[in-house]
Amino acid sequence: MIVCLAVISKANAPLLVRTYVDPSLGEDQADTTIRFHHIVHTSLDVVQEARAGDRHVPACRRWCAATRDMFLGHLCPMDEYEVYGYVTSTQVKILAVLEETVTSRKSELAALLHTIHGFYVNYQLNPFSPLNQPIGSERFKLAVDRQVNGYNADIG
Amino acid sequence: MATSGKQHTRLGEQAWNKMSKVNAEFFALTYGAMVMQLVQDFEDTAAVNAQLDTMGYNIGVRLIDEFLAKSGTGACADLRDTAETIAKVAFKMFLGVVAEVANWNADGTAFSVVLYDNPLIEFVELPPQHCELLYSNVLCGVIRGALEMVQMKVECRFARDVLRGDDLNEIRVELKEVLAEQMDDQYFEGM
Amino acid sequence: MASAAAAAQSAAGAAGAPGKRLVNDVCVDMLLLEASSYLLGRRGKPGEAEDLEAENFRELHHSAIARLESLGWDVGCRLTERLCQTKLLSGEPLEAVKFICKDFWTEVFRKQIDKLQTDHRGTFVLRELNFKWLAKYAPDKSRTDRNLAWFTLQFACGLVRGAMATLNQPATVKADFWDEKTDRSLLPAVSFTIRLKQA
Repeated sequence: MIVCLAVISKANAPLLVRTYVDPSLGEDQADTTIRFHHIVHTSLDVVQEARAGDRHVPACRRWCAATRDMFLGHLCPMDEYEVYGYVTSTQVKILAVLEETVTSRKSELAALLHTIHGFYVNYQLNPFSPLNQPIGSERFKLAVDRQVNGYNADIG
Repeated sequence: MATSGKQHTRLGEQAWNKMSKVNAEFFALTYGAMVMQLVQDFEDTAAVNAQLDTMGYNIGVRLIDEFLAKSGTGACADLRDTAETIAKVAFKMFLGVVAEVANWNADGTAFSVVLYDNPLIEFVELPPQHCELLYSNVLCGVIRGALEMVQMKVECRFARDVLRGDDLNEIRVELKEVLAEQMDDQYFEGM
Repeated sequence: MASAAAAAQSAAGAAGAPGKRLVNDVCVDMLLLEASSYLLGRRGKPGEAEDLEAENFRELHHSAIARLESLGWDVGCRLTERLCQTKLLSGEPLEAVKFICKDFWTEVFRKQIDKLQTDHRGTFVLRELNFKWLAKYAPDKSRTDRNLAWFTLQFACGLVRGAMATLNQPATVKADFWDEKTDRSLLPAVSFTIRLKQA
């Protein structure tokens, strides 16, 4: 189950952080948001992890070149979660925080992140969308929610 | 001479096929960037709408020459012919989309151009603070400017606008005056 | 009626590969001409002609020039996001420039850049031998034409600068068609110079 979906700019600023935590668990919404922001922020270090070599080419790019895919797969465990990542050619990152590791549903998750990438591109094609600013569009948020809820509803 | 509906469509297709073309998203983005520039320059939405119409007019008075030279249409026989030409030939030739003519008034002096598909607005979402913006108003100006060059004074406005919540885009065209003219020979070059 | 419009909108806007939709390129020409007119504040005022044929055109109109270039930058950023939606790029500067020379240039100008040169130290020179946007100008004959042609070119510089920025290769972009040595126009040939900003 996806508990958090984040879109991060190439400057590593969060553009959108959506959480999907069951409110009946009693956690305050503000606390949830902070907690997941922290998870996302820490995960970015994995994505950006410096390695020996050309500073113009971030680690994740070599990763992509190796996998031939924008979907990076599993990035790292974080607290009780597993973080999965996706990086576009423009260095926009999409992170999915899940409750469990994904094995049989990996291609589904990859497809979901790919779809959200598409939403992001469409959003950028709207001249009213400010460049490199947090995403305020309700349409975008709803589209992302629909994808994630669809994935989460499909368990088993 | 009057052109039949099928002929309008065929002319539109033929003209479109001959034209050199460019990525529509690039065009839409360029237009959008310009709209944003106007939104910044003018605080008042009505002023932006007026400016878009004016810019459209300036484009229309030039575009008509391109249209007459390359569309293969002759002079239009009447307003009905003009309307169909705009919808089926001009929109196709320039924007690659076909519009429909609808809602003629009783005395045949006003009609609507209905545009189901508008390349300018494909990815546009009007933010709430700009809900009065007539984003595609340039199209009204273009029609107005072009028709003025062929001796028709019209008023042109968006009656329905998808970006503002309507089902479709409807541009209302009302003929105000046929201008007294010295007709150029070129306008009589028929097919 | 609602479903037709919605279908057209959603089909066109569906997430996926870059769209194939095209428009007549005269639309772009007309739009740029009108945008330029607007930015230069041309309203048929007296003295306007002298303004446009001024030797110090670039100083006089520095604000309009910046705005047009920035319009280009905005479009370049957004279009690049779209055009490399399904294109995996390694992140090397040369690959970014090649993307601009091929993919980007093809979508905007329906052709590729004719010649690319680099000093392998962060400077790239792109030679376009037939730059259509400036086809109607005769810079050799008229100072006004020379100024307006150069002005229009700033939009293209912005496009390239925006593309480079979005591909994470911030750079300055300059372009010209004037040969200083012979004091003549090289149109329709134009050279673009991209200089990577060293971090």
